[in-house]
Amino acid sequence: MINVVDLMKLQPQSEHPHGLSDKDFDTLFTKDKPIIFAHHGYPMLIHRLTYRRTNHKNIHVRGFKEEGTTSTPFDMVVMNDLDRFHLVADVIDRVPSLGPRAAYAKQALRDKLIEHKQYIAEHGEDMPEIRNWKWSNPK
Amino acid sequence: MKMKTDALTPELLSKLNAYWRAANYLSVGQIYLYDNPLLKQPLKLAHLKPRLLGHWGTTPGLNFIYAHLNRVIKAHDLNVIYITGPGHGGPGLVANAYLEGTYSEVYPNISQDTDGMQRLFKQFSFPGGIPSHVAPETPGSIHEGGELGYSLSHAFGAAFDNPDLIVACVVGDGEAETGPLATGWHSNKFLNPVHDGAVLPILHLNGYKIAGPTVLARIPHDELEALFRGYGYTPYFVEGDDPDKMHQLMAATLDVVTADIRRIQREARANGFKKRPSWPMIILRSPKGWTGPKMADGKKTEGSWRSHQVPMGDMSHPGHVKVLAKWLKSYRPQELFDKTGKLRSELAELAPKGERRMSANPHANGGLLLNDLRLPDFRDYAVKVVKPGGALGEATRVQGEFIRDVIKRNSANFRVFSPDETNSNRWGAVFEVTDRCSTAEILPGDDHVAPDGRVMEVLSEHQCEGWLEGYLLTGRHGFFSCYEAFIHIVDSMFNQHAKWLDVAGKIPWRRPIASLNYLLSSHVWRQDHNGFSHQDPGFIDVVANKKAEIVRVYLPPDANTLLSVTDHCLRSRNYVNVIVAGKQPTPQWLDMDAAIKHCTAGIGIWPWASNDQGGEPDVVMACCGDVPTLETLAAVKLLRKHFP
Repeated sequence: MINVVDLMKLQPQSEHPHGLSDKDFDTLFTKDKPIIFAHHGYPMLIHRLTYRRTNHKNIHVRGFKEEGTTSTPFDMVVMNDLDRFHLVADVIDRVPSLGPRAAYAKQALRDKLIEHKQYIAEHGEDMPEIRNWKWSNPK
Repeated sequence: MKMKTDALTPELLSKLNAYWRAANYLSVGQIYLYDNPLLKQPLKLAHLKPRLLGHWGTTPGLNFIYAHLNRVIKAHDLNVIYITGPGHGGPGLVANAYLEGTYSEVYPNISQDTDGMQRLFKQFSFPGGIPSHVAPETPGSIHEGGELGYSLSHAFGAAFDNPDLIVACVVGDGEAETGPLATGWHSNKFLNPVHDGAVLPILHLNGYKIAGPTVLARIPHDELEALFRGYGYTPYFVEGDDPDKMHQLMAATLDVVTADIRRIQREARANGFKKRPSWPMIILRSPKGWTGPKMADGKKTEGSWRSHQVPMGDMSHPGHVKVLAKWLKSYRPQELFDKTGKLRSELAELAPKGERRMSANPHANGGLLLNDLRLPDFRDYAVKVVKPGGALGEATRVQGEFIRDVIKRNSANFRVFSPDETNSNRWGAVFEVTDRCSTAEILPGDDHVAPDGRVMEVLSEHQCEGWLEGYLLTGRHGFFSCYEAFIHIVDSMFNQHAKWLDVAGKIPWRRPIASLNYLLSSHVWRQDHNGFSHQDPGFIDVVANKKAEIVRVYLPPDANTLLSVTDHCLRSRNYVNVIVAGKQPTPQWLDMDAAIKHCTAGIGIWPWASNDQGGEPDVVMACCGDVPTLETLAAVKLLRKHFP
């Protein structure tokens, strides 16, 4: 899992003084594995910055795609396919080795998204499991 | 008020007029002449530039103001910088910097002799030379004249916390039609004569834009006067076209407004701030293209829109060279320049000396005056994070505590600018040490509003941006806090500032200035309550277009990374730093030690959220921004559950 603070790191070194060298970029992002990139802004910016990188063809960016309205915080990311369930589905779609469990997992994700929509329509706020979500490391 | 008609002795009147003629001569020379700078040979087509570029129309008025400011600077030992709202009058400002000697000091090749004058003329708006507008290359300028509307905001930004400085700001009547300029007049409700300098707006009505009339030149006198009284100024009118009368009137008026400014400042500094003063301003109405050809091709030119750029563009047209020769000779260059091409000493004496020259004033090369901020240790504000996700925090609220102490330690060279969003973006802590600035009426129920507040809140992103740019360009520091969606309002101002930094960075005599720092909060993912109109993360796309040497974009995922990034930005020079950060309570991921390492690298693996140690991963999960980071971590957790 990679976190980017300084967006200009993504640009080639030749284009920006902060840019990662191609070698460092390949080490981080691999040369051939799928990359699911959850971006704060419009997805195209990430493509603009990385289009020369070795593994650019495998970068799949989620971000704001102009889906907005008055809703809940989590629904904002859902509407733009940037939420956790869409991100997991993106992984499933791109990693064939996940095997037979993938179909069940995808169905569970889809059900969660339906549950989310029904819940916010009724309650006007996000589901408790979303609001109270916490990170935990596997034991 | 009746003005004196004998402010200038006949001798001084004659000299001042000669100085103005010299500046006008050099301005016309820059627009037209390739060679034969002092007309020592009969003027021929071959002496002219093949392409004629530049703007004559506004220039004689700018030169007129400049010459008169020189007189009061010398007479009263004033500290003045000159902001050229109609910045397309570049030849005039270059001409004046040359007459004062500054131009040859910073560009020795453009010497004060005939050869230097030829190079001065040739380089103007010429490949490998200088732009046609007032630009970073122009000594004495902090204001690029390409995109109109920001002169007053820049002027007031320069005047804040500069008690001895007078910023003379020429506002063109075209520029005066823009929104940012219209709101710029209200800056007088934020200027405190106790510790700020003065801005002297000079509204220059020459009546026309490129092809049409201007609004303010076509409203009745009483409406015009009422408009500026309504804005809270005391307007003084200088109107006419007879040079001698205009010189007397301008000189008398400048003596009066200088005395007004000094009286306002003296009273405020002796007795403390009592009430908002009515600052003086000048409304100068003079012909467009003043002293230029009266007619060209049988059409009125002086006093008409036809003077806006280059009167008589096509010089191969029969008779045009003759008209130009007559025009140039009307300034009587042989009386102005000696045999070597140098300005005659009795005229050179009229200019102020050293750093009092507006073209050499260090405030217009702010890096010369820039001091480092006294920064508290950002690590002292750290949120305690025992394990990733183990604490909740509001990133910008924590940042606000740091900013509070930056304000406290830097009480005369750091201000915060915001369109009324300081509280909303969770920087409320700053109000423990300062207030919102206002020199207008303050009512008992107002929350932290005072005439010496250091939080500059006005509901105009243009004004915030312009003030901050002016403040930075004169050697100070600041931060602009804004809703992410509405920072787009200043896309174009950002563009222009980034261009300025890019060009200025390549000019050896310009010193680096503090970076322009943006905090963009209330961002797209947490504007669910305000709706679609408040949702737009696209400013960083605009920023990414600019030169890599100038722009930095940071998306710290939590409070400790935000602190580290903020500290870095406040120490940096000559950049535009954009920080996008959330204000809602969210899990905190990194302790301060890890945050510093992560921000120094700018990108990195979070090992505690990864499981590929020692092998190739199946998939790389990447994220930037606080909300995408949270969703990515939640996705990682789900993946582990479904695919252990």
